[in-house]
Amino acid sequence: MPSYKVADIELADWGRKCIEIAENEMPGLMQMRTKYGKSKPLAGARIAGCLHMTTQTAVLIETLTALGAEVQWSSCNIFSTQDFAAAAIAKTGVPVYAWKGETDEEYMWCIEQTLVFADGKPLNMILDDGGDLTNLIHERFPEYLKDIRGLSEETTTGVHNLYRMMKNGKLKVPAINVNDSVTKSKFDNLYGCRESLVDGIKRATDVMLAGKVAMVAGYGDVGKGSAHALRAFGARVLITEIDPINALQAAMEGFEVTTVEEALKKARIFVTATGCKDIIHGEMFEQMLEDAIVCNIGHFDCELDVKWLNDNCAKKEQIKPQVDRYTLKSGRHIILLAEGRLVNLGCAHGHPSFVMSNSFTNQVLAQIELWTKQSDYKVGVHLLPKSLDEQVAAAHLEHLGVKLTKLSSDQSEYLGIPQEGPFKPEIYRY
Amino acid sequence: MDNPAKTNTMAVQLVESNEAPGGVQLVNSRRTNKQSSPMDLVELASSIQQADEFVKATAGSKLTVIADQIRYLQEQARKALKEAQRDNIIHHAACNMVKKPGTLYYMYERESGQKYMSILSPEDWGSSCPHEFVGAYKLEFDMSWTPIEEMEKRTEQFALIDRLLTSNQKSISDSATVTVLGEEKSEKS
Repeated sequence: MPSYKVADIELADWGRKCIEIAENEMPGLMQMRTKYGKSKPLAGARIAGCLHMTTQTAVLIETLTALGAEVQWSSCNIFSTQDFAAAAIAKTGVPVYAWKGETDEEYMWCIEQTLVFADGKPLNMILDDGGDLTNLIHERFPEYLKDIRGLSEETTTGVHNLYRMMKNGKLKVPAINVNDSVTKSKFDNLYGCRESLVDGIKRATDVMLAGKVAMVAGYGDVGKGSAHALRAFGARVLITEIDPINALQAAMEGFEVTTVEEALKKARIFVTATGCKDIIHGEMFEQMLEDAIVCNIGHFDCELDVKWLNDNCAKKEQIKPQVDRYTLKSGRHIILLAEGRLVNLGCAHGHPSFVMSNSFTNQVLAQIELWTKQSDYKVGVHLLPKSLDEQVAAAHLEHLGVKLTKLSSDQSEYLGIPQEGPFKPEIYRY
Repeated sequence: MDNPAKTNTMAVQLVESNEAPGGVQLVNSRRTNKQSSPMDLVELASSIQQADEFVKATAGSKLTVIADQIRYLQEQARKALKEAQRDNIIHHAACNMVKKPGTLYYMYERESGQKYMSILSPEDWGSSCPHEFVGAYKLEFDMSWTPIEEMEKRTEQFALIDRLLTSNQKSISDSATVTVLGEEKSEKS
């Protein structure tokens, strides 16, 4: 039996072409290969990865293997796998267990397949997105924890989970919070979603955005990107927030900040980007305008009460994959995208390569840090040092033709900042 | 009382008589048409009866063949409908994936009774299989489903068709070559 499970291995050639194009758009990762390809700092690392199996992730996987690591992969979302990318990776011999449209049980099966490597030895590094792999090992396979040198976590939800585990004394391995690298959350959450949210909505519904009232729940990085993208298309955007600082930010950007209850009366498009649960639930769906489009771009599908829709609708029709039209008992219709899961992954192709190169270069650096500097990282949740964060950004400038100004030694002395950085104090918010 | 001879002529229909066949007046048509023996008619009648039975028997056996064929066709129709129904059920079983012809899919049933299609086999699951396995089906290129039990038969059929097609093509192209060569020869000569 081959050590992979993908939808169609024959898609590998197509996937390879996409990967080649993505490589050029991922200068950070390619620089890692040039820089560390010879020294192979990840030799001996057995990395189990659980992160959307896309073309961009394929470039990450091949960077990790180029740096000497053994890698096994699963996707962290049942709909986000690009089958051609998974096939291309499987064909290279990297065990990958992912296909678009897994069931929840298959999703867990896929993750479990990545824990033990071909030689019978279990994983010794975790690369996670969302915390499902981290939780699975802590709860069901604690015997593997002793060999694990560290884990790097990609996203806000997973990071929250890590801090919660830490607080409850349940976290057993050193963790690097990749999400809060400036070059990660301030880039893919913001600029990535700014391009992929509308891409998803448009591919799914072809709806005209100009003039429509759209509600974005949450004005964090993802919410900011989403709100600005919708506004750029001419939509009139309402924001809901619980944090007065973010609410004020939204208001001062010119957005109307209100509650979901108020927004229900006039919005035709609802986007949740909170990372919290129960943002739009039962009675709220009933009050929406006809054919309101509802989608989620926060990590989990619990932002929307999809179960309520399924249990209480009069009829559910699939318009096309990832687009469902519910008829409520009142006769009103709701269009739900990607079953309430990530709309930019379910209905579009996720973040563009370039912005993912920022996040993934952080991932690679985090894996190198945890693998090679074991003594520097105790059990707990760490951030990458600022100098590495700046290194990630620097790796992406040339591709854009950016000319960076150098600090003169005189200026350096005047500011009290080293010529080569780090340029900002830890508390700087960018 | 009825004339017995009359009843006989009723039962055995003789060819109408003609007093002037071909325009030549018969001297005495009664004499010419007179039956030599009363037994002639009886014989004629019994031969007709015998022929009737033969026809009945032949028609009967022909009809039996047709009836058999009808029964067979009915059976075929029933089978085709049953297969169509099965294909339909499989096509409409819950599935999160876009199904691809040529691929083997496995059907499971959840506790809720929902049936769904998966690319994971019971062997892939091993002992941790979460739902009851219903069956394995291959999606053919005509969008029909072949149960795994019948897959070997279907593969054999396809192989046979393949062989027939290739040999047919070969004979067609062979004869084409011969004709072309023949024409070339005739042109040359």
